[in-house]
Amino acid sequence: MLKKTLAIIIVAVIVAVVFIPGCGCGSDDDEGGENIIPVRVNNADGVGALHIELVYDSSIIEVADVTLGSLGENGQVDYEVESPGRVIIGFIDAMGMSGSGDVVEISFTDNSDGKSSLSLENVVATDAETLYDLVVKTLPGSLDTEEGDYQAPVINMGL
Amino acid sequence: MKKHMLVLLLIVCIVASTLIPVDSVSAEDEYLDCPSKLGDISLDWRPENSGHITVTEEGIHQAVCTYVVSYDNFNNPELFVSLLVQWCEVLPCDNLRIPSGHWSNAVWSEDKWAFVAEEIKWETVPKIANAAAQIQKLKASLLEQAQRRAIPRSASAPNKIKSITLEHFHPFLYARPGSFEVAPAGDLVATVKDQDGNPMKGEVVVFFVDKETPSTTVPGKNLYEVLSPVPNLENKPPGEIDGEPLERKYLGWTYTDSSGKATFNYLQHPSIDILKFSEELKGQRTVIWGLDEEGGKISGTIIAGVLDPETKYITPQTRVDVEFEALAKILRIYGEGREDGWNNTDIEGTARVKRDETNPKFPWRVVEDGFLLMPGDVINIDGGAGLEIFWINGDQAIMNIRSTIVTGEPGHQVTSDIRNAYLTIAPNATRSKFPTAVATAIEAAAPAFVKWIVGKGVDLVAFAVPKVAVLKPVVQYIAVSKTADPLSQIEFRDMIRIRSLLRIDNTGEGFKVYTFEGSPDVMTEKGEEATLSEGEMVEVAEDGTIGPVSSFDAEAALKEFWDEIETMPAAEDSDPDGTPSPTDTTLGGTAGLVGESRTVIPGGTVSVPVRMGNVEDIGSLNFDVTYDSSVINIDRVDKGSLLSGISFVANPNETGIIRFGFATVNGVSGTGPIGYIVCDAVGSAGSKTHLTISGVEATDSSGNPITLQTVNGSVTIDSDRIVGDSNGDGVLTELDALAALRMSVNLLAEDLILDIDKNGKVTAEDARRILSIAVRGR
Repeated sequence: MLKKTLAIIIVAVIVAVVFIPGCGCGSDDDEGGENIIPVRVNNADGVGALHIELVYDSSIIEVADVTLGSLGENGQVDYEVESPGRVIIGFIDAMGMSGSGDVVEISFTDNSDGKSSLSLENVVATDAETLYDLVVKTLPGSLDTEEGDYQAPVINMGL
Repeated sequence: MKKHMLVLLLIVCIVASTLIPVDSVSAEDEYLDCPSKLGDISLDWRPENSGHITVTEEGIHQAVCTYVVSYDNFNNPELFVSLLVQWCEVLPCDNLRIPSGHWSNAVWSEDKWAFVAEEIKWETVPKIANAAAQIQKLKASLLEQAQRRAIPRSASAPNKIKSITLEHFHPFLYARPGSFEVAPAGDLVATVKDQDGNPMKGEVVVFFVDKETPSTTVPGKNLYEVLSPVPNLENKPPGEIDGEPLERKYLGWTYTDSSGKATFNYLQHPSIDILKFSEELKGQRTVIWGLDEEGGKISGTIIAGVLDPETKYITPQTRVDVEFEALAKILRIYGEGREDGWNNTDIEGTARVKRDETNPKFPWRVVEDGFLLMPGDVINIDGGAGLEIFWINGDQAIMNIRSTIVTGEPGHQVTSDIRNAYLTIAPNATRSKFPTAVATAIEAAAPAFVKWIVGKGVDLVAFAVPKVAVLKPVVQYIAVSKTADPLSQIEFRDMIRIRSLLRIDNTGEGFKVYTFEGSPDVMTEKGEEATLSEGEMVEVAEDGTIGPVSSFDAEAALKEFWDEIETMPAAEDSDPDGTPSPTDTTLGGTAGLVGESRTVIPGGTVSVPVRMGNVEDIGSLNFDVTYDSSVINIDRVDKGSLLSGISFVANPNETGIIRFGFATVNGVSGTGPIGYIVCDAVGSAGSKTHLTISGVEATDSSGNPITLQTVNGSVTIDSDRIVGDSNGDGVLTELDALAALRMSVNLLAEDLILDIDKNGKVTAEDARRILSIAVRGR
């Protein structure tokens, strides 16, 4: 009886998932699918500008758009796909950010199934008050278009 | 119980999909149950996508169904066409498409269908108004595609005894310094003939590696066993050799043309994982020949054989040995370079290489033409010189380093010295990965001009310049790669390269194109075209009109160019000890102290960063910075963020010298600013002072002495500044945009140098424009 109940619950859950609006199931890992990957900044207090270069495997994904994340919602962002596999992102916030969170979100379109690393290079952070550089440490992320899994790249302020 | 669950789930799913009328769905979470069977024909179709329904802006509901047919179910193109037709009858399709690449392996013969294909995918979008017409169009298109790609075998093929020979084009052997010739790097050309010596057309030639020939340095493993992922061999043509299956040593196949030749490129073929290849080279930690001076090497034997369509045996065969000692090679180093191009007097010469990644490792050493490069090698080359690098697959990078570079708008120009520049050989700097590697190289080489050519028939004109505010009109020499014909017209050729050496002169109205080597096509947006030969030039007006082709003395012009590079005046340098010039802020990966350079208006204030780079575990540091007190007056010294939380002190109270010091028990590592020298410009316009670093005494956290390289900075007083450059570093960055944005709301004193739109005030629009230039360069 318990097994039967369990089976019905599992089926119900599956059916529910199929009917949840906006699920997007079955499309994320196909060619042409879109994945939104945030760039996270930890301890961003006072950071007024960021220069970010993110390197990825252009045979697997390509950048469709870069938008502001929740942490950077009061700022401005601009970006350029300088060459296949490298997007340059510039961000400014006149008052400086506060706390930790996602400064920008990068929309990637899938070109093929596979796993691409998302490496951060040449990251420059500037203090909003002094306009002096701030030391950063970065952690790479990754995106697996086949599995739909990702790990967001991270910028840690300070050593 | 399991069965019950599956049945129940199946029923639920069927019911769910039945309940969703395609025309009535309104949300994007609905799915179309794509058919898995075509009419009465039951085949092993494998739906990959259950048909996620989307709604277009016009309100049209669409679902894409993707299918895969494997070789086992696919041996007759006519049957394939009939299947697709039935598919369209079952579910009308108005956008059925088959990626062309999946057709490229299709072939059949006159006397016997021998269709061979990899996995074939196509997509279809339901909803169509005129299904019958579309089906006819589809059928005609598919048959045309199939026929176009078909090649008949020689009529008597099955009855003739064949012979096969194999020619190997080793990339390095066929690369010539300074040459832009087509180099079939990595080509294997098999020639099949009948017993009378006549070429045999339409024969399937299979390439694989000899299982019995181990890689020289990976005992028990075969080179291509490692390098080729061979993911779906079951879909490749079946074949045996001496009764052994092909699996795990199969490379690929192609078929012979009318001259009996079948060409396969093992460096361009997608089955070769060039990263693994590179890793193999990097992995040569074991010295092959027992000598420390020997580098890495990988080798193997490639076999080519003719696939008999009747017996599925591969016979006859031939073989060739393939060996690699490096990933790239310096073809040519040109120009004399600057006398002060390198600060280490023990290492002279124009170009130097340091090897940290592979064995045998070595510090900087002078290199000459022909030097073999391994993954991770770092090249340093003088300003006023250049080099060409050739990769194993034929890709080529050309690196020109000017002796000086001028940036900024006319009247606001800044001339900087370039003593030397760096180029790192990325481990994946080949084939499709090449652009990424070049991007890396550009980063490493800046401020150099790096140009690259990508093989595989890609039209590409590319050059990189330092990131500057506004580039003045320049005369540049560039390399061009282009195909002789549209790639689609060249079947089964993996690599076509035609190169040209051009000079683009845009210093006047429109621009002029001069050709030194090759025969490039010049095309404009207006649609006008001209084909140039060596020694010919055209003028292109700003509206895209191309003028008549005229001649010029290419040899003399080229000589003038090289002479210009070689005689570029050395930069003004007051440092007798040969330390790098103030603008050379490159430490090349070594630990050191860098003073930056800034420009400031007379009477203005500027902050000059002093940075520490690539350091590990610095426990204490003292150093001095000397300056000309008639040019600047030190206001204060601020601590940099690399020393956050660390005891730091600077004494700017002595005229002409600032003394710095810090100490920490935990040690400082990394790269970043340690201090900012805030100074007032007291000199007149045109005056300049170096910020010379001296007296460096550093220890690690255990008290052991550490050597740090130094790069001096400078402050130049100039009435002309680059518009948009708030901190005087000569480059528009996010910092400048931030400064403008803060000025726009009075959080920072207004400086009209940031009024980039010239409306008399600094606004958020100025910030936006500066940010765009910082990121996009425009």
